[in-house]
Amino acid sequence: MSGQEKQTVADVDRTLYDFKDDESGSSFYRIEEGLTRDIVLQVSEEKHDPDWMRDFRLKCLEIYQNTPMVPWGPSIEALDMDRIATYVRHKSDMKTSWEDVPEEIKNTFERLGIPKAERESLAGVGAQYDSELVYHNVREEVAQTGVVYTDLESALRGEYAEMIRAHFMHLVPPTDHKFAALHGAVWSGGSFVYVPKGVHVDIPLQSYFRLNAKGAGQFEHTLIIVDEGADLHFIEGCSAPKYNVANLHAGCVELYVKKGAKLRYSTIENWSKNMYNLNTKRALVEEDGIMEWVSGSFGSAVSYLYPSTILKGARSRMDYTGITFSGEGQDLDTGAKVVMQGEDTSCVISSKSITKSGGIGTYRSSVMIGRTAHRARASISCDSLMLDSISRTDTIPAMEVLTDDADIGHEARVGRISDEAVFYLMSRGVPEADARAMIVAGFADSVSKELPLEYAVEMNNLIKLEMSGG
Amino acid sequence: MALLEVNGLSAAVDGQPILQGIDLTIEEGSTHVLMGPNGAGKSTLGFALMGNPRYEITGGSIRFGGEEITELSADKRAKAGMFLSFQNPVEVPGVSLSNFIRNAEHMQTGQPVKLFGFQKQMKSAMELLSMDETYADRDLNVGFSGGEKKKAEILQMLMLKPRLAILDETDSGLDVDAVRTVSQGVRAFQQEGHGALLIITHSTRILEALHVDTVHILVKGRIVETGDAALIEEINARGFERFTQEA
Amino acid sequence: MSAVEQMKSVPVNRLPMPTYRFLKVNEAELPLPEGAVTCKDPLAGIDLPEGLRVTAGTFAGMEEALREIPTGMGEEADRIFAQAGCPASVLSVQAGVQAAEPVILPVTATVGVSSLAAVTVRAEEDAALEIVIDLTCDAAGCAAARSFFGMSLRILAGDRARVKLVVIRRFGAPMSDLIDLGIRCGEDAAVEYSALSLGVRGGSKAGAGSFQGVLATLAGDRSSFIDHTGYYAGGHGLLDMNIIADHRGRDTRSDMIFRGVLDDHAKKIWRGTLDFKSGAAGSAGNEQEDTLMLSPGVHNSSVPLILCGEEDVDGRHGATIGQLSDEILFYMSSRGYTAEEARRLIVQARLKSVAREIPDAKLRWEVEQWIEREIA
Repeated sequence: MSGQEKQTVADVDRTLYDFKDDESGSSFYRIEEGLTRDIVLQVSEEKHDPDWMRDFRLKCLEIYQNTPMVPWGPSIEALDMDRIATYVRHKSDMKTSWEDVPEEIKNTFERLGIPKAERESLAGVGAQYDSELVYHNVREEVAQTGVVYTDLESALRGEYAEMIRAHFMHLVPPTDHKFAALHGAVWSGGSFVYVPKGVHVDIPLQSYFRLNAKGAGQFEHTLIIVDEGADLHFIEGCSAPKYNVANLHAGCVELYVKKGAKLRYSTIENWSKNMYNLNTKRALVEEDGIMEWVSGSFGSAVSYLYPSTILKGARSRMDYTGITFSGEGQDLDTGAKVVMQGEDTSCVISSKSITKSGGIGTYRSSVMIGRTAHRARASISCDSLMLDSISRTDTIPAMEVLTDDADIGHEARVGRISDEAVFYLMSRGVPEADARAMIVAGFADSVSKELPLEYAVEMNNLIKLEMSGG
Repeated sequence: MALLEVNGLSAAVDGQPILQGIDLTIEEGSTHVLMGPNGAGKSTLGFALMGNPRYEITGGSIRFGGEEITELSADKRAKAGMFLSFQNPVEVPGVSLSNFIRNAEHMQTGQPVKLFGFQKQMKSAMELLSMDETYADRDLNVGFSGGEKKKAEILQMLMLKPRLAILDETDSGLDVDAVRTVSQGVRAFQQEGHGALLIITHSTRILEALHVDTVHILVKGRIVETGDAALIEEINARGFERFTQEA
Repeated sequence: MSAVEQMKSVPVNRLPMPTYRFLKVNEAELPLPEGAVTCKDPLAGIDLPEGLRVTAGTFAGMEEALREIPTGMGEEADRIFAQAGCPASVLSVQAGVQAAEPVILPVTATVGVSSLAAVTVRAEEDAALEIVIDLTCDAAGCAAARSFFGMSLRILAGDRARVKLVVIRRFGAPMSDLIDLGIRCGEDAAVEYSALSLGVRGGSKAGAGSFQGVLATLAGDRSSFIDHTGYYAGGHGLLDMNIIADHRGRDTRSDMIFRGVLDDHAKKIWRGTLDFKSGAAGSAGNEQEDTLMLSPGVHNSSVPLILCGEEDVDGRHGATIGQLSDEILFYMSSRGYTAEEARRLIVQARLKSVAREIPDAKLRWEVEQWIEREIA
């Protein structure tokens, strides 16, 4: 096959997400840009924090100021904290009825298809717009089983206040890294989910995050506790319109999977390409618990994203299925981390990466098997597909094993679309452009088939593979 | 006294019962065939007889040469004169085929193996099996084709001269010529070695040139029929249908 | 006294692309030799086959072409040799000459003394050479504390040259050592490297151990690099490796196989990198790692990188880390091997499969005997 005739795969079509709403009007409250003690105190006051939370925020600010940037990974030099507004909210309270949500925000979510999704296939929905949740609702029959799904702020003051205090930033301490500390200082919004013992939530809960404000940060905190024997699927979606200044997302997700419980956490991330996505996600899994991550990363200028799992209990299990698509101007550093402590624990990591048009995709992972993790099993596979030679793909896995009866298998492969595969399809009458598109879609298939149908469709739209003839 | 006496043998894999009360008696020097449809438990019986720790014996006993061996580890069974030809022989990089056999012989007999005699025997056995001589110095099973792996198993049987050789699907995946070659090796073992055989198979190709004393049909973990070589003809003509229906 | 000599350790074996700090794999701290350093010249006074010659030189004054070959451990390792004022003689093979027999260089580390040796090899166009470096301790063994040994190796393979290098490290007792290799290949050049690391036992002293680096720069089109490494580490030994295949030319090949055994409380860090630079179209690289862990006290870190700035390449990595599989143990026991015998045979076999690469029959036999005697 001649190189000149090579077909190209188009960038992800993002026009769907790129509309923006004007926030210059008086209906929005915006904190001044930058990060100082005063600003943190202002955020705290805005949010009516309990005293301990206000003190915690100030402690986090101090840690943030004393923690250096990570010495590895993509450059975030272009991110200037002095130009990021850490808190922006609409001057209306959170609603539990969609009709009450302010018109301009409602329009945004309607265009993203959020309420429709709720009516059709979700057990509950939360929608965050900039720094605050604007809408939260959970189906009546789900609420009756005792499932709690609410915004974190009201949970902080309600009957779960103690539970939250006992878990909030315990799994991801502010000392973890610089942006965990930043999150602790200015966090706002996010959800709290509690699934009581033995309750199986058959249809997913979803949170949708929209960062609409220019030059702002979003720092939502998600705390989920799935109690013994319970089962939950939680979905988060994120998007933002594109601006010519940097936006920052430094969310934090803490997941507690108790004995025999199961949690699937799915993410379709489609931030705009001026977004710095420095998100931290961590799960702690007890005996016989199962944690499943499904992760699709398509947007942002820079991502540092490694959902991590501590397999503490015996026989606990982790599955990670992820795909990252890096196009022009994107430097996406994604992967997974797992710490195995319990006996007979197991993990399966399956990662796919596609790079094109000068994008940089890095798969980074660590699998640590401790001395106590007898008979632990780990299986890691990462595949990278490069669609042209101006892009770059790096695979940086690490495995540390401290017990002799562990069993670890690792496979990695980097390459391009195979000429034989294209030829095979063409020999069956498929035009070359379609053949290449089919192969790329097939490459992503292992992730899309893990998603509920409507999200798989969204993802396939995201990998909108428009082929242009040669 | 019979060479092998199996009484009421039951076995399970990962808690799943596979064999359910197998009775089987094999005399010195005789040739038995164990047939049955896929999933009947044929390979499990081979592994259970040889003492694979993955196969849990849940009932019954195995006696070999008059000794109770149900609890013995596989290496002790090998020393007592049992041999199992694997369906999927394991690759052992760094250990040559000839060193592996010579070491095994040394360990089974406790006697030093004289190099000259050993090499002569290897050469003639490999000739019989149409194996290229270079295989002797290659790493055990590493990069061997399916056919060469099976031949290497038969070669080990000829060299180690067990009192009972259990051949687990030795003909599967082989072309016509390879089946004939392997079959020649087995015949040589019958004639020269005077060892007993338990040939596990679901096809009858390997049996064409062999003398067979007794045939057992295994269905769903039970021996449902035992007869003479005529049973092979019946299965050739009509398959296992009659037996699976009865079971 | 220079600044380096005042330091206790220097960072070496840098991961070409750093990762999470908590893993502590981004670099290694090489403890520097203390006190006086003795230099050895393995090429001094050896008999050479026809077409080969030795040019005397010093490490510091090493000619440019050789100095520009980076090594796996990095510049800090070079500085140790340069500052000690060690000789760095060059063994050259003239264009078109196929050395009739392998060059064998025995190098003996001396008890209680820090010793360094450097060898550089220049194979001119169409030349071929096999070279074996046999590292041992002197008669008393090298058990004395503070024994330090360093070996620096560089290979410049001209167009169509073939070089095979075998390094056997068989120190019988704890000591600190470094083996640092840099390779540069011209067009169609092929370099084959076999390393057999035996007797990494180490002391309780933190940081002591064996540090090894290899960097093969595949500069010429169609050049190739093969690495076949076997190691055994026991006791409190530390084995720290950094192996890099830098694919620059078109249609270059690398194939690296690492097979090792960890016992007792041994720790191993293995960094293996396939680096496909933009322009290395048609290239393929493969790195396979297989680690056998024999004791609950072992510590294994594996960091296999594939860095890729070129679409038209095929890079693969595979790793298997674990115990002897139940299948192998049962297969061998069905042939009469006890678990202990099976284990010994397989451990020795891993090492002997690399010893097989020694092109000299007598030395090969000697090393095989050493393996059977020392690694049981």
